[in-house]
Amino acid sequence: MPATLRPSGSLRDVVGGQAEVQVEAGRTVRETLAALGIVPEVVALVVVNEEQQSKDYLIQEGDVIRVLAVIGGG
Amino acid sequence: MNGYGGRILRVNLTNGTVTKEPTPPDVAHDFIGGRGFGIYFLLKEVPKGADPLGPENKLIISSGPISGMMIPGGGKCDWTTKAPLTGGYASASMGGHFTAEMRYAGLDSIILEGISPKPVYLFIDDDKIELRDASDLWGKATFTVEKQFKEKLGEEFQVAVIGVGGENLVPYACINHDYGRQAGRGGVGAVMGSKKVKAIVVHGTKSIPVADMDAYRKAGMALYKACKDSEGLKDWTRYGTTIVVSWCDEVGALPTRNFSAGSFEDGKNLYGPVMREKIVITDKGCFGCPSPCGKYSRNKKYNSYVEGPEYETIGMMGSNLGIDDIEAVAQANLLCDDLGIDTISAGNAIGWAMECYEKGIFTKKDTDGLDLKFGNVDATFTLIEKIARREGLGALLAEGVKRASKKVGKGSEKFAIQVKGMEQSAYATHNATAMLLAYMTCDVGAHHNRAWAITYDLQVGREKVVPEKVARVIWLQNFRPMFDVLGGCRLQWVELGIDRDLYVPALEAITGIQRSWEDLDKVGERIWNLTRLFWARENEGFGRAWDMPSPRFYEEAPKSGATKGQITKLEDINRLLDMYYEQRGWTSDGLPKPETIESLGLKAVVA
Amino acid sequence: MRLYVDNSKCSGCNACRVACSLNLFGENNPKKAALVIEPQFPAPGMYNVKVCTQCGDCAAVCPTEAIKQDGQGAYYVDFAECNLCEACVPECPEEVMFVRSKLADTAWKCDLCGDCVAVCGTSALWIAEKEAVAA
Repeated sequence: MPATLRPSGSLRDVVGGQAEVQVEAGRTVRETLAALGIVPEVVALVVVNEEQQSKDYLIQEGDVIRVLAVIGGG
Repeated sequence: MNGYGGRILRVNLTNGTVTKEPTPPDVAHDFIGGRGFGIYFLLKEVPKGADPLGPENKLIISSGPISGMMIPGGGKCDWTTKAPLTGGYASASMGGHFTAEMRYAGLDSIILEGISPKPVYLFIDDDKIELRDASDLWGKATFTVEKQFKEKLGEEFQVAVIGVGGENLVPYACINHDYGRQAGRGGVGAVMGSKKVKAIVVHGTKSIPVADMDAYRKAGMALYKACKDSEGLKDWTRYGTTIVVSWCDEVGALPTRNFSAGSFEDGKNLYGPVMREKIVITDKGCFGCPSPCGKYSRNKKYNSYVEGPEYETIGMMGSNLGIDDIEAVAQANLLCDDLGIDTISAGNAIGWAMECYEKGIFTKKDTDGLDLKFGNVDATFTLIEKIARREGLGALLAEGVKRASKKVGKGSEKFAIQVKGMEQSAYATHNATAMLLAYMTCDVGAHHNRAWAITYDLQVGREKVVPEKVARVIWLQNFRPMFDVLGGCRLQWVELGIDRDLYVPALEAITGIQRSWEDLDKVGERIWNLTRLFWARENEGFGRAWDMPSPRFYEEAPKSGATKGQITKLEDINRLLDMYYEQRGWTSDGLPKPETIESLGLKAVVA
Repeated sequence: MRLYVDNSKCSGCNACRVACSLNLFGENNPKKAALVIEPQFPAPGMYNVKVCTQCGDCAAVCPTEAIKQDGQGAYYVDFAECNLCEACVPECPEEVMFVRSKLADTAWKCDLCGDCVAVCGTSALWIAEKEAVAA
């Protein structure tokens, strides 16, 4: 079972408007984002199976990964 | 008038009289509310050259059409005045429940004028409005006073109160409300203190008239649905603005040791999840907000409760001071709140003082014996108290880093991190040119809330100096503060990413006036030019030099962290400014051209 | 069916109370809402929310039978029938029976419209079956 990436609002435009993208296990979040055309640096928060992780987290089968970009802060 | 409380309350503190006048429909049409009303009354009624702490200055408190409504984020009021900190325009946005209650008492603006001979508080209970003796409240901490009022008058009353900082006219004294919300920057608390007003308590039971009730309820529900359906709601609510601490550290935006770097080697002890686990007990929100950012905390280490710390305070009192203990930062937050001084300016000033000490510019003689190294928590606590009371080194720091560094000299001006006299808030901008430009051109001084552009910098390329970046900053500056005009919060758009067009039918249903975002951005542009003209009116020789940032951002590349070795070139800073002025329709010295004033329909306002 | 609340999730925003007043009276005025939010600050630092449990004690004592039951079994006040006698107010175990004659010439209470649930961003409120109470 592949892993699922759920990008937040503004990032969805980068992945063609999808709320959910199937991604391979065995790569880091950072590598996966780059492969999808998302500049890893703009992602502020990575939550995997409801726990915050860094972008160097190695994705496992069945993981649900939420990534949030900060559109505007402050 | 649909969408409005209907009255402007004038409080003449010199004479001790209160009067109400109808809210002028043409002002409501052109300036809408909140910050719009603020600049309207400021330009019209505060005479050129007024002493910010004198009787001619006014403190204008304004709600807006979405305040107190079933609209996400309808909980902000604007406090506008001539700033003691900068001598220019001050506008502070305060969350909580005060703005809603003002509206239920039928008030769109409260204008404090003159100076009271004795300490007073303003009491508003629907149409019963009085100035009452506050001599037994003077000198008391803000939490103490708020609690006293709540116990005496009931929980329905909303309280805005200054602390010792405001009473002592500290130029960055703030106003406190709801145990943790502030009208924070520019010294609005000092203006209130100069007028001898300790507090405003307000209670109202009136309904707010609405043009189309069914359409309003439908539009409001659609907005709440969009917020509840947004992908980031759960995470944002969990962490509030602390959500970006780790990210800022990662991208070199976390101010470290007086902005000498953008990453903090001990930063992970300050990250959102660490704070959540250690101290947070309640997600506390402002009126009408579906995504409460307030993190109310129980600080076991210091046996205290505080709302926060939020991102800014974590940056300015944590990494900026070399402090890696989130509980110490929370305590610093509480001390500032209770004493009524802005955590951002205070943290910035203390960071400057620490650098002075570490460089030998200050010795223990100058620091009242404090070993003022970066990381000294107890010294930080001591200095916060001293600043509020203007004692010892605190008296110097209370003046703000621009004045303090001018007095001290010895090269300390070079690391006073400020623009226009306002201390820079918690984003390090060594290599993030859009954000740097935002700080340079913000209309109250170096504050981040008008145009926050760091993600844009990362998307486009940090060091790129291109017209699109400038256009983005301008767009954000015209648009984001419109939420302050509407009497609400921008963070549902900013953080949850909801479609801003959802506000349009809500606004029309409430006020009866149809406005697109194109119309609203135009109002924003007009207000932006008016605040610029206010600066020019009040400051001889105002121009380009006032928009320049601290030399730290073009002379001293960080020696560590994500932006190690990276710095912005001064020539690029000037190129950015040139592009900014051109796109804004201003002269090369940064003043609105006559044709720009004319095309924005502002000739009559500035006559 | 009845309204439930998880206090630990309440942020004190009051959106529920505005929605409630809009439903009951068609007015934007949370003072005319049928649920109560009690802030407990500075300590212990949370909100205590009181909601109608649809127990019916109010209806039982109403001398004019102004408190009726609708199709889903929820008790509501028929404004036309209320004579402001206030007999219902002390009967309510949750203190969510309201009489404020300055604001309305009728008592009011929760009619289980659900608008509060719709606007609650933290999902602190929800509507579900009444739980059976042990005898």
